[in-house]
Amino acid sequence: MPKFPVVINRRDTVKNSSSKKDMENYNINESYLDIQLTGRKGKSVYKEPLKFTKIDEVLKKTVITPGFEKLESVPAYQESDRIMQKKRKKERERTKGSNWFNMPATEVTDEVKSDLEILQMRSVLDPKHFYKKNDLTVLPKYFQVGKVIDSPVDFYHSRVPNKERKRTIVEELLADSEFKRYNKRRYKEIIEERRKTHYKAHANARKLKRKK
Amino acid sequence: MYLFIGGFKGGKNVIIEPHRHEGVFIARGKEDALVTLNMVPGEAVYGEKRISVEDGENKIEYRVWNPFRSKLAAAILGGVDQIYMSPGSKVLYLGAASGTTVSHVSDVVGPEGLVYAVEFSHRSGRDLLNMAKKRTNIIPIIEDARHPHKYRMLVGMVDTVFADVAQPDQARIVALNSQYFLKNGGHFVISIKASCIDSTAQPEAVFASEVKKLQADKLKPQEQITLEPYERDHAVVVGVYRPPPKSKGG
Repeated sequence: MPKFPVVINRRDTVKNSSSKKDMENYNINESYLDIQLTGRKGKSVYKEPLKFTKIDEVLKKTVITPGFEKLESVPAYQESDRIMQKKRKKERERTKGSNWFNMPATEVTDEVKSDLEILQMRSVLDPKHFYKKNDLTVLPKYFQVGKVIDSPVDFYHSRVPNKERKRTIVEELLADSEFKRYNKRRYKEIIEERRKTHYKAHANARKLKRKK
Repeated sequence: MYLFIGGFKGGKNVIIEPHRHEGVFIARGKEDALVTLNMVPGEAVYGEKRISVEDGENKIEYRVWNPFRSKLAAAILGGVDQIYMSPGSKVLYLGAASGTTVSHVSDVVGPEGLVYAVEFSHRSGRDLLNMAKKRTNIIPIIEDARHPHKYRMLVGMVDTVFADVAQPDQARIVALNSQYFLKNGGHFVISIKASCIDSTAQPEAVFASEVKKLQADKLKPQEQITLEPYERDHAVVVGVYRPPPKSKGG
């Protein structure tokens, strides 16, 4: 059997195209080439091609990343304890913590903010409803906005029809005609009262209003 | 304040905030309600109202906890200082009944916690079993709480014992179970119904005598509140079992 001087350099094999299974599918013994796939002790010499070269590994730790030239200074290899503490604190403050199942600090948009404010001032909404005083003087940091799920049981007595559903609490209130009527009346009363008790300030305010 | 007349109609918007107690939340709308995070989203246990929250792509759900149906919820709203059922803790629940409160306790302790629910009656135990099928952190036990040795192989060491058994020998039942399962320095929460213990005596006298009995069994009471607007002649006693000795001079 003629032996060809075939040298197989394992490092030169094409990456990720050949694997052990592929090699087993070929019957190498019947080819012209005599490739010695078994070592001295009968062990298979063939190994998986290396996924990463050593250079890749070293490059992982490199400071020179894309966009490096835009940085003002070379970033430090190690971050100081204080900066790490700050980072951890920031990370921790993103949620309420595992004791409240990681309730997130929701982003406060204008709509959400007005909803939270109306909840704080809800004691003025309904004259016949008593509310305990608020336990927070500021707006809450951790909260979520939810919607009550429909239940087939209270279809007839406790449901908002689809047409009257709104996205926020404020919109719900504005759609409530009785609430609007009460509020308008109350506003007029207050203005009238101010006219009597603080007539100077009231006149001044009206003057300013006219000037505008 | 916690009657759900106008504020919790289907389709209304509410804001969920964390409660002072760990694992418990408040839903604020026109009215306020106590809620817990539903462990099994999409399912109500006893027809209670649910609130869905869409947080990006993942949906979560809260269940409203009615203080008129649950003495623990009534105690929380009554302002009890501690319930000793934080997420991840193990609770032995005596007198589970159909499992309405148990389901909320299982919500509160979360997937890392555990609730051993003991109920003697087979009829209400059936509902409890069906509920426990869907909630993996509940271990239902249909057995008499007077004989803890019958289920000692099922129950491990627990952090808190909750008892709502409404029996004349309630204090003895709690003491027996604490001796078996409650860790030293663990806590107990007991709801006492005065008329079930002595219907002729004054409720206050009944509560005092029950507290005396507890003290005799090394169950040291720390707090007692009545469940007044929600239940009549009921008291909830919270305390510690075999507290560690106080260190002298700090």
